[in-house]
Amino acid sequence: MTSASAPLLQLSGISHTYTGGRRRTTVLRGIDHTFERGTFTAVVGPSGSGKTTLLGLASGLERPTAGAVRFRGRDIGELGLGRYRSKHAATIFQQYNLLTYLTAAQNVTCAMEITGSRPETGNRRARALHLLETLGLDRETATRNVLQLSGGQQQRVAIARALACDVDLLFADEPTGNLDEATAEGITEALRRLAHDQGTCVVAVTHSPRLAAAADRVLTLRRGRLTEQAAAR
Amino acid sequence: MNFVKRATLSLWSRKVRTLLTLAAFVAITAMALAGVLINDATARAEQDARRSVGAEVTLAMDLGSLGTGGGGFLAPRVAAATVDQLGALPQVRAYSYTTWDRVILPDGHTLVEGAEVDFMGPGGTAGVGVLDSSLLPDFRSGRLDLVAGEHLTADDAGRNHLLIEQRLAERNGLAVGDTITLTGNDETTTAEFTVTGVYQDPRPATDAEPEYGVSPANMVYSTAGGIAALGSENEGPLQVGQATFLLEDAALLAEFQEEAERTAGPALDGFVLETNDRAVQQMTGPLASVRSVTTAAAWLGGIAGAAVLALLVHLAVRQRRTEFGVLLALGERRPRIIGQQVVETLAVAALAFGLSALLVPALTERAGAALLDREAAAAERKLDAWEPPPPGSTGIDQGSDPDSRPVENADPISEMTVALAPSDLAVLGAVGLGTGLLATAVPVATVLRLSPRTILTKGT
Repeated sequence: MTSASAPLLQLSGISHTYTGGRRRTTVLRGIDHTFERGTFTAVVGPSGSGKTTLLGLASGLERPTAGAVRFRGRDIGELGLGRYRSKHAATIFQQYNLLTYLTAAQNVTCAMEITGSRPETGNRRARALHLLETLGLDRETATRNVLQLSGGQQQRVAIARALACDVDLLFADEPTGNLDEATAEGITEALRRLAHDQGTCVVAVTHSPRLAAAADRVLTLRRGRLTEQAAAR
Repeated sequence: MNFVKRATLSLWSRKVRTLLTLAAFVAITAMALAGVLINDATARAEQDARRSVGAEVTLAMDLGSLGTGGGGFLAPRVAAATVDQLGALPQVRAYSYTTWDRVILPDGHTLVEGAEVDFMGPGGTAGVGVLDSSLLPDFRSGRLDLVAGEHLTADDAGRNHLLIEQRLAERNGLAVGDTITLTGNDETTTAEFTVTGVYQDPRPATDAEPEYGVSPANMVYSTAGGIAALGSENEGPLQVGQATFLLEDAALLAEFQEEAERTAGPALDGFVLETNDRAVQQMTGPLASVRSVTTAAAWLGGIAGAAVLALLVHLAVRQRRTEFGVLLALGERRPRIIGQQVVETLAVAALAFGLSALLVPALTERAGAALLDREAAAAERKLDAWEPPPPGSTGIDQGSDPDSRPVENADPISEMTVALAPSDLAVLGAVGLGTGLLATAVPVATVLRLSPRTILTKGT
């Protein structure tokens, strides 16, 4: 399959097992799925069903113990996980995972620097401030150290950081988990627009029915197996 | 934002940790630098002492290889020509040799009354033949002082010249230019000597000269050939019993010993070349004490500081696992993450390095001076407390070691100059750099082996 005609992201026979001492726990079994550009997919399922692990494998944070993750037809292991993460895939973590010695704006520009993302204006800081502002963080807040921000504000910084990277794939782990209803609604809409207007493939793990309802497709995981693939209403 | 800027922001935002790391680094670099500076300063002072005293090698009887003949010990002799050969080696600045025998004053001349006047029989005293009297240790130390005439030198080798002590000269009305006929140990051989010098020995006439057992006032020094001419074995080439070589530099001691043994070969059988650095040791004893104390302190302080630093860095790395995971998740390259940590460590190390280079020399100068002063005072007290053995005794029975007699004009060194040399800075830099890099790179690299998800899920 050529890279031009290949799907954006393909999970083929993915299984994953964690080993802790003598104990082996298989969290994903035989996952096959294809993600296309310009789509917004929600991954749902009960806690411990393997949602976050699936996200970690698809975003190149770790390698599956079996099967392959292919980006445009090429195994991301061959591409290089670090290169895949910096050029093609960004992740919004459930725990925000911000760099605590930087301000909100610096967290965003730092990610842009690492991924090589350069806005049309050429000014990374201006782009960072604009993104943060669209997510409800004013300039004064954006220039404060992230430890001085509330959980919800930190969540928005994490989202802005991912949005700033101009990648093909955006993975989000409970992106609206710590946000109030109005802000969550705004974030959901931002993710939809990112998929539909900019052609980014957005994959969000969530327990939120509202977010799942906004997605184009909903994948349900149970005990490590993909049990349902359905178009959202 | 590149990793250098990240490092700067990280250091600035974690001020307490940065200051703790700085303190640990300052402790390490200061201890290391103090140790290096003290070592350098003491080494310089020791070198200066060696230069001022000069290096001395004595060719003396090897007590361990004494042969026996006819049931008694035979003191070995070496040809003066062999000694002349060794004296011509390039390492030698000056040399002399000695031989001695009993000499008897002629009728009408009397010895100064003192210790053991009858030890050598009526009119008998010790006559020491020398190549160069100015090189005798007692003249070099200033204890014996030439008050009239000239020293015996190699130019006098073929003549019967004599140096006598002032009291013996006065007692017998002798002065420079007078002649006196001495009789040899066999009490039949005689030779006429010209008094070419009169010297002064401050020791009481009642004391015994430790080596020859006669009163210091009655010691006579002659050209070696003159004394040999009085001996019963005066046929054949001149033989001597002991020689002294003063070297150009103390650093040449080993080289000279090696070359002397190669040059003289079996001619030195029964002899041993001994370095006589008692004066240097007496002068540099306090330096050695200070050096050993400060070296131990520097090692202990350095090791303790390095342990604290390693612990701080280890804790910091543990605390920063999540940060590493985030950076990896963002796609940052591992070398740059390690680079950021190294830059942070080196920035602190450089600051500590600068502080140490600025403050430590002055502090070391003071601390070193106080230590050295104390050690020198202790050494002075020990030297002042030394008592010579009673007349007629070696002192061994009384627990006194005659060899421990203080060397004159060799006061223990009580001052040293601490100077910061580029090589010291290089050592300091290497210590700081090595410790910092090792303490940083190893734990960081250990964490970075893991996948970002593993780091992030087990990060805390």
